[in-house]
Amino acid sequence: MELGQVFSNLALGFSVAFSPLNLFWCFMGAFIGTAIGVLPGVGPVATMALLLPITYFLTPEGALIMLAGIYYGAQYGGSTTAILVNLPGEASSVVTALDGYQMARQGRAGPALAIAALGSFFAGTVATFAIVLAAPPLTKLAQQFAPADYFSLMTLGLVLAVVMASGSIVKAIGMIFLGMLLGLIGTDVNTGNTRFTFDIGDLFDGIGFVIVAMGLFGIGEVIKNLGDVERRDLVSSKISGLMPTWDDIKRSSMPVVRGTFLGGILGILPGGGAVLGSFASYALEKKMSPTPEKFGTGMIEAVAGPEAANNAAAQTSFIPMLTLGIPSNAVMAMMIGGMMIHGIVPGPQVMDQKPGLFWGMIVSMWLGNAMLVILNLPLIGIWVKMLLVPYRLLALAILFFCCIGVYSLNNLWSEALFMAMFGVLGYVFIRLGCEPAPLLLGYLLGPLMEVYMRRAMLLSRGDPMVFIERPLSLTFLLIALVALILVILPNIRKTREQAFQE
Amino acid sequence: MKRREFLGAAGATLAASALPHTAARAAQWPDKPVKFILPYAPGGATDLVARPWAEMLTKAFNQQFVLEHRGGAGGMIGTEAASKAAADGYTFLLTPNATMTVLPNLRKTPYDPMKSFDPVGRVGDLVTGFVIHPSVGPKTFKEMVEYAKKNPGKLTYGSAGLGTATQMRLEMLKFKAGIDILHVPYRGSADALNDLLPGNVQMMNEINVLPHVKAGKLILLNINHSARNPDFPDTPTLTELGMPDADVPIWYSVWAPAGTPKEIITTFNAKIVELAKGDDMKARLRAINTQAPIQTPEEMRAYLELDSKRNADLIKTANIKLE
Amino acid sequence: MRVRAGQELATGLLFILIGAGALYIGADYPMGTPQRPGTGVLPKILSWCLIGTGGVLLAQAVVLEAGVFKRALPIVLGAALAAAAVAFGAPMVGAGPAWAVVPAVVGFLLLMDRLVPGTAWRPLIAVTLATVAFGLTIDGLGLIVAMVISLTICALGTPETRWPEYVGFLLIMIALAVGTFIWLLGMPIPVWPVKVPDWLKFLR
Repeated sequence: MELGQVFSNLALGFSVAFSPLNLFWCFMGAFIGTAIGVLPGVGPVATMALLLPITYFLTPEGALIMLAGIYYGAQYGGSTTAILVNLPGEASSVVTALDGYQMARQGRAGPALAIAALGSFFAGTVATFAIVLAAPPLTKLAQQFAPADYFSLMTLGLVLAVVMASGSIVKAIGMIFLGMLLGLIGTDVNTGNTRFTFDIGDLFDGIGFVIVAMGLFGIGEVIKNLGDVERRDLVSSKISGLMPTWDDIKRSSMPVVRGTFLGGILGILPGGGAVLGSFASYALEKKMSPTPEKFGTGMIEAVAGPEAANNAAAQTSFIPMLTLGIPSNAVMAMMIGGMMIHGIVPGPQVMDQKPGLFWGMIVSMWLGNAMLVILNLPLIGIWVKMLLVPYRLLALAILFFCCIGVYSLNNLWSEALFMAMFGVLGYVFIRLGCEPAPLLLGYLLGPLMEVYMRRAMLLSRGDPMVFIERPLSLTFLLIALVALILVILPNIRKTREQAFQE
Repeated sequence: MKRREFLGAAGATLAASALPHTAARAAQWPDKPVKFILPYAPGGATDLVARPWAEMLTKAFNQQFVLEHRGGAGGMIGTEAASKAAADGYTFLLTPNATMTVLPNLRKTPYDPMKSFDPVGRVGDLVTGFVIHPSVGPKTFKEMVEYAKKNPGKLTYGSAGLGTATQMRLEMLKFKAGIDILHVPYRGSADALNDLLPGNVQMMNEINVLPHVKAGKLILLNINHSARNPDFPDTPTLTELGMPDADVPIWYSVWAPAGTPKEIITTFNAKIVELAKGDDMKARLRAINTQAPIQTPEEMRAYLELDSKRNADLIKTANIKLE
Repeated sequence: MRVRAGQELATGLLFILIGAGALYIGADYPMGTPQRPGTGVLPKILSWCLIGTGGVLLAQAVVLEAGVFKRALPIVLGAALAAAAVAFGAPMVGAGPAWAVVPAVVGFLLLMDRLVPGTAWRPLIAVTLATVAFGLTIDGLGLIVAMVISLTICALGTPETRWPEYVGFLLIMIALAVGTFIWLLGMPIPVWPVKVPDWLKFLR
């Protein structure tokens, strides 16, 4: 695209996005999204579905601007709960919870929240410009991926989960297998058979990710903290500064840049791509860090990088929807629903036929991100104060929000029971020193890998060579292999040394 | 509140909801919000068809018509929920025919499409056809069939999933034309389109491909409908191509849980018919390549039986199984 | 090292237990062909991988503490016997053999407590029951009853609960919940009791 055209497009976009009414809807979306995101379990999809009929009364631009605002607002809000009380409401904030919650326990919730907000803003800005300048070539890039390539990318993702583990590598590997196995519960998409459902109808669709995540992280942590009086009071006793120090910012800047890049690229890929972004960023930062052993104990890099990746991916996941009309996830499907309500048929023609809508929405994304920073930085003080609530009461609140959040997903009472089981499991894992993050990544990627593996085998007529004949696929597999060797070698040496010492 | 008082209050509420006052209320129907259960996730084709209807009905009756998405298990979970809902005229099922005439012929379903529901109205038939990726070569329906005859099993077709009407369309084509095309099931039509555009699979038959046909990225070979699509006037129907009875209609309809008062169903059907005849509704449906045929509940019942038998015959002759 | 050995052993046993269970349940899932891999391929691969990982953990545990198995043996045997008894006994009283999962889970928790001492039994039981109670009441008895029952059970989970303070907090939470979820978000959740919950239907 020519530069002159870019500027005229942007000018058009700014004129649409900065109209007073659209500014207002953008703010409302970001505000509602943040509020929703903070509530664990109540996700952007449910909110957008609830608000979709209301958007009929807005202009098409206003409607889409508000819906988009809800989405990235919810991303912000989700990180807040993950950092404060270890409750990742969605896949992308699982990684943030790892070191973010540890920072909060050390009284550094303020800097963690601030870095998350600023890092996200930076990533959102860059990703928005990437959409403006390079949406069509980025779309082409995503289309290079065939099923075999997706499978290999997911394999690489699982290896990254091993890299992430801060404790025993063997346990992390086991947790990945366990997560993949749990992910298979439900109806097999390719054959319609049910697996591990015990003929319980509510299991035919599998167990929702939110249920597993909130059970393992949230409920498990509540049980542990209630039984552990001295340790947890550290949280409320020593809250240091609200804003990050100069050192925090220096340490975070490069992770944010790298995270933005990783998340931005992976976000374009439909199905699982956006999730991989934050996990990949964590693994990358750990590998680049001079003190990888400190990851998992409250490193600011481990909050900054994944948060940037997560937000960049949230922005670039709009690309297939904008350029092709293909929803790459449930949120984008809701955006398409919002278009359809106004009689706009999603597809490649939207860019030409409705340039005001198209560019206005893109500009509003950046605007919404700026609003979120303005909205969230002053809120940090309030959030951190929340931690001063005595734990005996905070525990009740967390438990209740988990329960209502899970029930609000599908209005199925049985899902609260499933969450209770994962809560017990989460506590068991804490006692046994097993980290739940690799399990969750396996849970997300396992079923996807199976789908892509079968699709690749079907299209290659049963020839497994397709995985190494395709250059993209081969590259991913080789990187995965190298990464695995790099992780396992020093570990074997360490175990041997330990064994000799005994 | 003391415990006994509380239990008393709870009991009273339970008793009140069980009172048989539905008949008396049929005359004023609807005097509270009406719910459509959709057996799929929001954002899909069913959602697209249901949205304009919910909106127009809300205006026409001056009463909220809300959508509740109960996706899962190929549509069985939501359909079962609707079959078990109270038959008081405030909960209806809005579904494509997959859950009513395809799935029950392939597997055991927790509802009986013939007995669990009373027909209310037909709200949309998809007007689309087979598309093919330009990189394959064939540009017309005839060329595609010839290509498939020369290269058996080489063409690939992405469907929205196992046991969907889009799979039936492929099976019917294979059966009628005597050709072999590889069936690749996807998780919904968006997922399939994503692999069709770069040519990872080569054919589809859905409504979400049509904007890409307009943009010149895909080739529309035919229309699986009794009449041509007004937006693609040059594309012939299957019957015109000498392949009658091969359409496998994909049709959306509203059903009431069995036992819903007759008066309510009559009122509701009349309003659906009235709306479907209006230009506003026609335009809204045309934008998503859909048409709503006018049908009385009795005609719908007969059509359900016809469509189910047609699919059952196809499943039997083509030996289609879920596994 | 005693604690670590205990952790490795318990984790290993957990992995092997789940892997073996999945293998047993998934034994007759079809394997398909190379071109169309069946339902059973990935479950079998993953089950064996999980069992293998569990085996490595058992070996590590022995390396860390040679006598670790001796500590575990009585409970493992006891739980295995109880599970077997239930598996054979349950069908006689009309229940499914799947109930054997209950003694297996209880046995595992006891084992974990023995190998890694310090289980917080009281919050573990209270929080789990509170979550279950919420699920069992919300559908028919409404939001307020569900909150009162489940939060009270949860509050029983810690000796720190101050009851007057708890009652005040509960009232605030109820007001907040009704305000946010019912009024603002308009979620289809009953506030007051509307019907007998599904799981209680058999009483009628």
